[in-house]
Amino acid sequence: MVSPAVFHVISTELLIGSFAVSTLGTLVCSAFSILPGLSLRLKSRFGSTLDSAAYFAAIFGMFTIPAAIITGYTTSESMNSLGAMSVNKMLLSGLCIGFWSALISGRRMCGSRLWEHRGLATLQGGIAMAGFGTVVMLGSIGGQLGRGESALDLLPFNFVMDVAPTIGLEQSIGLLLLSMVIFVVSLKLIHRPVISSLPKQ
Amino acid sequence: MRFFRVFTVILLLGLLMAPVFEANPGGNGDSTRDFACGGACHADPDLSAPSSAQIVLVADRNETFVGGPLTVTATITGMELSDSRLIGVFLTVATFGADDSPDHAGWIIASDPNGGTSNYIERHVLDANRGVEISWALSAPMDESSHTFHIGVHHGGDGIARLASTEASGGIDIDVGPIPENFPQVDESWQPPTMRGLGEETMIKTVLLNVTNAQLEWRVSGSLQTNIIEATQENNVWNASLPAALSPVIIEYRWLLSNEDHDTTTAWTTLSAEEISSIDVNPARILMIALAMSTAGLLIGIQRRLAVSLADSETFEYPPRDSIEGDL
Repeated sequence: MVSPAVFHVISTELLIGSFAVSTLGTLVCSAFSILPGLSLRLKSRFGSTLDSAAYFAAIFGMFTIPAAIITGYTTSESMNSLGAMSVNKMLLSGLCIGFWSALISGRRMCGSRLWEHRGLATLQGGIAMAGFGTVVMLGSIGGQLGRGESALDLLPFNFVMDVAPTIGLEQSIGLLLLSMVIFVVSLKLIHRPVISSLPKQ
Repeated sequence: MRFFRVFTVILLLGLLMAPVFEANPGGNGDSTRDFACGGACHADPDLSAPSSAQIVLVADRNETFVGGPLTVTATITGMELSDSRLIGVFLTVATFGADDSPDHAGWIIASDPNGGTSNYIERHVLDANRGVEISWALSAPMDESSHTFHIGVHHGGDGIARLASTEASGGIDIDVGPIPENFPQVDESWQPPTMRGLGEETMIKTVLLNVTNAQLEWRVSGSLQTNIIEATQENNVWNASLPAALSPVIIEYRWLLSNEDHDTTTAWTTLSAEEISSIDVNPARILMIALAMSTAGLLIGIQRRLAVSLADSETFEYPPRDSIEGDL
């Protein structure tokens, strides 16, 4: 029999690989946008290829998140380790979904013209870094749970993973309602600009 | 747009489905199981490869009486280990068919090594050479009879399922005889505590029959040093208090009972001390969804505000394009 841990490893490797590609592509595109001089040295299709790869990898990575969460849950159950670190993994998974869905949404809304706007490009790069940061922390907590160590142990400061925020059911429901309000306001009340695919001349 | 809506729904359903799935391999959980359970939880036992585990099985007595105590201890070493380093150990009363768990022969498991009452338990093994030592405390059946106890072990190693047992060595034989006249014993309705939280004293309290003097003996599991606490009697109920555990340590305890005719002991009962988690997972699940929605909502809102200028004319002045030089 194949244990849930094996499926979890498969899904997390797909997830981390996809998001690593997406982060790298997004950061390079952001750098080209912020520092236009960089792109002058490269071939004309390099930027758009990276942009497409980053976009596709982010979408693929999003599809692997539910699989990683479900297999992670079954793995932690089988290891009888549903504790503070597992709770931290849940919360970071929420952040991860938020960052990456925003990254995909922004890229979809603006198309490749996103990189024409320095502010948007900076934001997109920041989202990619934050999203990949959560992925790295998720992986590190997984390493702590599975092997008792992670690469973050090399950091000069102590990265606390085994203390989870304590929150009651009522407070969490209140925060859920607040987040739903934020979500609805963003999607329904803030105008979604229609951006043509061709850059303005 | 519809694609993204469908995808969002699938994503949220995936998050909500997570608690529904149960763990299976890499551990099935402690339970009362026959060794043939291996057909369900470890593939067909006939298809398992042999294990190099060495099993030493001992009991604290060769005979007991109806309803009397028995402690069975198995030491398992030298097994191959899978990545999960998990082994599953069965205590059975037959040589591995169906209906071979001790309860089928009338035995009652008072405690297992993990603080439960299961004949099948799982342990993580850090070092195969040191192995594991695990004990069960049992109460004998209510009829005079003879029984043979066996140990079966399931584990992985080198990518395949492995199996070991005491079938070849013959197990250990236990006779269940009649209760001697005026024999000191614990009331059969007693349920010994097997689990407690950290930092709390544990009062062991029970009705003892034919007892004039009682002591509670305890030891840290795996240690030879024992400690004895004098029990006090209140209205036919005897009680003694075990000291609090300051770390997740397993101790074993048993009653030392005596009267003018007999001295006896009960079986070693395992008492696990665990940090009882105060974390409620449900708020964390809700918070996970809230974090996902609020993060995405905030960032999408900012993106929309910024992108307005893209829709207008305030675009970034892009460097001149040509077919050779750089471009995005």
